[in-house]
Amino acid sequence: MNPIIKQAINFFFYETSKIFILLISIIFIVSFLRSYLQADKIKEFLSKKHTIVGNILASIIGTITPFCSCSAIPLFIGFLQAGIPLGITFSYLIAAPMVNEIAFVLLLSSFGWKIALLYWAVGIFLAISIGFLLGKLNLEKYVEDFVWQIKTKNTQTETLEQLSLKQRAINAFFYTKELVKSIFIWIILGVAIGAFIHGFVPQELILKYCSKDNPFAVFWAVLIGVPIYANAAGSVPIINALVQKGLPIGTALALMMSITALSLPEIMILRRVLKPKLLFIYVGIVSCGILLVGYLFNLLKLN
Amino acid sequence: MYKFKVLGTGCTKCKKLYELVQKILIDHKQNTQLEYINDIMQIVELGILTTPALVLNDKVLHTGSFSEEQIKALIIRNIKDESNN
Repeated sequence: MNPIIKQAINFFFYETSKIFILLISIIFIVSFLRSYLQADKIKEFLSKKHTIVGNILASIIGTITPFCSCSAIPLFIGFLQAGIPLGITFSYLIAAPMVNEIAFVLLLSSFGWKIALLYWAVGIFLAISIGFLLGKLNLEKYVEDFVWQIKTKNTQTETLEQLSLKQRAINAFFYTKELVKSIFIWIILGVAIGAFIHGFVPQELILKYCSKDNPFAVFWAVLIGVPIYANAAGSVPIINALVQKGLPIGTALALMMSITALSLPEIMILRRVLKPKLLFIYVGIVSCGILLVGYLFNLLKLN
Repeated sequence: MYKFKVLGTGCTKCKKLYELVQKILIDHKQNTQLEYINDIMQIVELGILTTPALVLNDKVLHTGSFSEEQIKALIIRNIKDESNN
């Protein structure tokens, strides 16, 4: 066999097995710990916090809870109903999709500890500061009126507290199995697009249009990333390929943050509970925050 | 009669849960019912924060991400529980 092909195959198996071993172990640990963190407990806990402490806690909790954009509405309404301030609810909504264990593992295996930790820290910082800012702007009147009028019944819920340690571990194991199965396709898709970029997109193209010397590159990255709907599993391999082609790390992380934090489907879902003005402010401020992060990271010269 | 409801906002996970519950309930057809609800107001009124959710006779059994094994065990346990009463 051609030694280059052999090397490529070895590389592929080494890389994918590394990613999957990391993914399986970290998802298992996180989902085990998560069995102690039910959404209604979080709601109760956050409803007692009203200052920046609430923003900080909401952002951190957001990073370790699983989030699917289809839960955005019930969660949003439920939080506000429980008396959690709007700004703290936004902190949670920003952190949950953008910063999670899958993004962390994938960044770790493609870019190393430094970038993975940096992404995590900056994501939490953005969620805290944007939520805090939005909370100060008195935007409650721009939440759709029906949200404030819904009466929530206090329903009986199957209690999970009595679960034994063993049962929690078994649940976490099955959950890990299913999650890895469902993001598998995203990773393969991401790797495929990444391979396409690797093979067919000329380096000059990226250097010409996306280098640090082009002040608009980060802006375009965010503008392209916002409407795109993809999760961390699919976007990291693509971003990795772009960085190898010379895309500055700040621009790359801004692209990834805008893909995961905001998406067209999520904006359309949020429109059901936010009046256009608030929706516009929300998307605008989050985009600006990501933009700033991108420029800052490019200045730090990390790659 | 066990009235099961799967509540979701129409995402793939929610449909997956509905199909899974449907499959599990095949052996208990004579005394169970299954309904799919995607009305946000109803979801919120039940106090559900994360979807998909599984409800049995107005009792919330499960919310959020799930695994097949977990749902299976949950349903079988609850059908047994109530038949003992």
